[in-house]
Amino acid sequence: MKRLLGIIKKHNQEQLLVQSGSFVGILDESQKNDFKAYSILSDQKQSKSITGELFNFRLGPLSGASLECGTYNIYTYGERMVDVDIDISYKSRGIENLMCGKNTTHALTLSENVCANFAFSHSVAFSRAIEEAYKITISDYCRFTRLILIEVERIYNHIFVISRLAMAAAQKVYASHLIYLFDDLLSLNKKFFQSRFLKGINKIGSMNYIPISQIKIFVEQLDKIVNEFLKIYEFSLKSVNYLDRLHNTGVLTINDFDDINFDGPALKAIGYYTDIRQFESDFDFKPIVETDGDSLARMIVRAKEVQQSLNIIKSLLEKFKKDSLELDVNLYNDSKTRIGIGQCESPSGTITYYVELTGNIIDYVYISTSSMFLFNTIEKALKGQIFTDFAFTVDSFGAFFADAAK
Amino acid sequence: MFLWPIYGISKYYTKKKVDLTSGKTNTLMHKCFKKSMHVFAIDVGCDNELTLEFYSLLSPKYNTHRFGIFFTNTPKHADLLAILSRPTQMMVDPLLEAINQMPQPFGIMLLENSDIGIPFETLNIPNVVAHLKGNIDAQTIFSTMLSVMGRW
Amino acid sequence: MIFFEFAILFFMLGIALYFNKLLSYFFAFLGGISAFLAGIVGFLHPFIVLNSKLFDGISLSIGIDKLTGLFIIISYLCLSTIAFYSIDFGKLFSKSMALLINIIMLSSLIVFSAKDAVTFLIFFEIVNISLFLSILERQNAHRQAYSFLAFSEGSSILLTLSFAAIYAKTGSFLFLNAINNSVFMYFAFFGFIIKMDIVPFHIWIGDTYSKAPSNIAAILSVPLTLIGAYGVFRTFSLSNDSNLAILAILLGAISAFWGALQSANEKELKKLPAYSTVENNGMILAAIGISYLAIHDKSLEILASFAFLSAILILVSHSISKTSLFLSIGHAKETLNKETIDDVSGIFKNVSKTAGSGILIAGLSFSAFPPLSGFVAEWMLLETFFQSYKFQDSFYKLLITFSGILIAIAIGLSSFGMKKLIGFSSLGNADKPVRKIPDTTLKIAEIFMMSLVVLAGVFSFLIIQFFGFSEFLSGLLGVPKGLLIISSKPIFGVISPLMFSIIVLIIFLGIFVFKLNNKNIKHTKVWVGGLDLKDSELFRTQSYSFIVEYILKGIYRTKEYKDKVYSIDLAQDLFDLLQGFAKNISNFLSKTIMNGNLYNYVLYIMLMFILTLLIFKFMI
Repeated sequence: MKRLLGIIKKHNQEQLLVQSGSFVGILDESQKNDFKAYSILSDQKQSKSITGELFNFRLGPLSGASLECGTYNIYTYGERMVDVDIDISYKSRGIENLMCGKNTTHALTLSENVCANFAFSHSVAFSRAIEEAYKITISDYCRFTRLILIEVERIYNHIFVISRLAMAAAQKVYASHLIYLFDDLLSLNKKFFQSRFLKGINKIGSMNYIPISQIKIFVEQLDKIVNEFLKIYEFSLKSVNYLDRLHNTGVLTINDFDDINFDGPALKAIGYYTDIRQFESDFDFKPIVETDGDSLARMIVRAKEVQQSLNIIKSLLEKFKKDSLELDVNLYNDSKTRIGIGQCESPSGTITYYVELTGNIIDYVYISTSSMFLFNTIEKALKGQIFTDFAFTVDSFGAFFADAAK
Repeated sequence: MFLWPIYGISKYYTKKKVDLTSGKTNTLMHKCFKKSMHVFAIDVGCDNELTLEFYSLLSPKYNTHRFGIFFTNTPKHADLLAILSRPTQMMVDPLLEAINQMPQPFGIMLLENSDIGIPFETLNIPNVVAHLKGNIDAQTIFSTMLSVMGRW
Repeated sequence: MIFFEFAILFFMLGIALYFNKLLSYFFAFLGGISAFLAGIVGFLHPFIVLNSKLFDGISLSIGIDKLTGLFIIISYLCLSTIAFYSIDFGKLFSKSMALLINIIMLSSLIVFSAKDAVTFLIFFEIVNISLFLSILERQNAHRQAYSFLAFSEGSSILLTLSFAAIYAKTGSFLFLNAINNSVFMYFAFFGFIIKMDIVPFHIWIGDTYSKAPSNIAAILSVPLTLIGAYGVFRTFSLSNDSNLAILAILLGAISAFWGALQSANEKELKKLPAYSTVENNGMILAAIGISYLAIHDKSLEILASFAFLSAILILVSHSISKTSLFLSIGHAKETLNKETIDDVSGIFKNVSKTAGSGILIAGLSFSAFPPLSGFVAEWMLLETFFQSYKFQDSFYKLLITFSGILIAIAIGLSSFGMKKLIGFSSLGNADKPVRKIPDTTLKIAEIFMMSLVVLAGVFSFLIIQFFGFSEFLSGLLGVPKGLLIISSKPIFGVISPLMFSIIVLIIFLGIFVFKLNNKNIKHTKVWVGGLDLKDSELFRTQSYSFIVEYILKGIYRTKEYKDKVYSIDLAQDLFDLLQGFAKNISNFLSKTIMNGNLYNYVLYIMLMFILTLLIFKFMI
């Protein structure tokens, strides 16, 4: 399945960043007609005008309903959301522009600041791009720890998303329990990696050293939390009331993928996947897919992925025999131009960094995140739904304004 | 239950004793919100770290309600405005409007974990009762709120 | 007697001085007051004004009896206020409106007090034609005026037929001779309920009310429908046919339900009160139906007279509240020059406080908000329906119970609709460009009417006493004797609007004093996510109504389109179908018979002549 990941605009020229299978690369502008998502990504999206008896029910930028400062413009004549326009610009911090002119170490910190709950994925994707540009081969230790921590990040994000859904359905006890587990996971991160959101661990070409014995203890405790999660998750599936609210809510089809090119659990819920973990050689990966395409399917995918991530971590730990003290990699600051593309599978989909460097100073960077696509998908999924389904639809995608606006 | 008129009237008169116009905000907050405080946390362009830290305060582990801390969804009901991170350019106006909507007396808690965004110093924010920087976790936020109330 | 003559004199003066609008309206106002006083006198001591025999069997007879007096009191209270209101309001329209209003007021007075059919019909026609002409005062109102005329003439035809039935049987045109004449009953009943805008004869009202100038709309809605109600009351007083009463209950309940249903999803400023008129008249009809159904049973005399009383109370409440509503809406509509509820948002803020509170109080009265007059009236109506169990016949029980359900739904829906009107027009917050119009008498009339709405609710026991139903006043649980309204004997249900208002007033005064003392109030903008609210972000009436349109989509036949919702008014559709059918037939006839071919036409006349002869030969 081919996807348009983004449009790289430089010197009034456009290039397309695309992915097809394991290939990620740049295509010429002339091929833009092959991608329906081009019109959405190229900012040609027309602002919707209000006609007839519609009015704009604006939610945000500062509202209790959404955690972040984005704006949902919901065009409605009453209960039904006839059209939705999500404005992410309030959160835009211009991180791509901030990175330009900075050295790679500084840019790495900035990449972690795009979206804290995907901090590790961003940081890995960025460092992979730089590593590709400098042709650095990383050590087994570094590779394994990164893979483990990516899965850890996935686990706590998925639990967070499911807790949001439970909260929306007013399943207070269940939601509180999930938040407790979420907070527990963050505390666990703090205890073993000194950062609740796994910031500052990853470096370009290397990792902060954490002894393998520590990681083993960490995984044991993680195992307990995940098992508790799975236990209460199974229990929650007995609440017909709760499932009924998620069932048939925000249904997507493969045609929507053709139009928008979204990925992650939202795509897996339709029965397809573009998960880049399938190309990893370090572990067996069988993507989890569902077929209904609704909020319930997305939740089930996430819950099953929590179990899958734990299994991946365990299998990695078995292969992971010896640890080595990591040395910082020096990036030589010659004035050579380099280009690198790096990817990482974040909890909500693939993150891609396209980086151009002169020496170790960043000239240009383009960040393609999953939330960019997911907000367009949410607009599509909300269309025609009634207000009651708003939270169940929006929260099931796990899209973040911070991730999308950059 | 039948005593509510007496309670209301007594509250009405005790409220008068606190001079809302003068005095340090911190002591005022201690006087007014020792027993309960409503918090409106707004994200004005943070990287979600602080948002999620606030979210995890809902965990039963902290049991905020027991200490009289409640989260509201509008500044009109809030006693403490928690501003998460430095604002982006577009969020400055909504941020100032939120401050404008707060009922007297109120306090503002500033939190920042990175140097991205417009510095708070340039915005002239009134009634700042706490300013947290750097590595902020849920526990720190919680204890700061308690100290704002005068309970810590 | 003397007041009646004064009234006629003032109206005549008003007609004669029509070239001076101010004087003309002023005389209409004075005439209205005189007529009101004549009504009071006539109610207490019935009198005859004129009784001249023209020739055998045909006489002109005018007089005021108890029923006439009652209707004159209610309608001239409203009409004189409308006349006073028109002193300034009429400046926006031509001189002929003053003339027409005087004619309408004069001829309605005679319509109410006519004791024979000929006098009644003549002046009834004058009222209709004058109203038709006054609707035409507005530009481009031809279609609406003609549809009004069509329905009025339909009513006239039925009434003529009914009067012919009296003449055929008794050789006289006096109403008194119509007792137990069932042909008269049915024709007159249908003739009068057309005037009451009962479903399915309500089709014309929506467009006509919104096109007509507001003072005329108020006349259409109140005094004109009062003529219909008067006719129905009069017809029932002459009948002991229980089928007619059943028909009245059924049509009344359906009408109330249908009117409320349409008002709940209405978005236009004057159509909403128009449908509310349909609803209220339906309630009146249902109450009077129950009253005359119960009258046949000796054991139900108390229920019969309570139902009669509730019909009168609804009449009073509907008349004053609806007049208040139309006057305030007219004021707002002329000032803002807009048609829909969304567009006039902020009447209280932009137009005037009196117009805003007029809509507020009248609307609350229609929403049965205690202690306003609408509350008392609707409470009494429901109490009447609750007593359906007292009927022996189980068919009656079922009929009244189901009609009661319809009425209860109607009350709920109409309250929903009225809150829409209040919230979106009167209490809205938008800033609107305002056209300056002279409004002194407008404001005075509005204040008078709205205080009447409040007083008629709070002191409803006085009204009940005045109309001679003091058996329904009692005292209980600390409420002094005479202040408590009871719905039956032995006691079934009780309310005391006066005591309620006293207690609520005391509590609210306390809160008000507290609020006045509290100087620490911070005023801020509305909080909508931290940004200013744009015009496109305001909640609309459509959005408010959508919830009922969606829940009741089986009845509304709601269809959702990309940018709007469309609900079908089934009655309107049926009417359009009939209209199309009639047009096709007339098209067909004009093409085949009356196509300018002389022979065809002569043949047609000959055929019709022979047919008529044959009918008369064999039928009679």
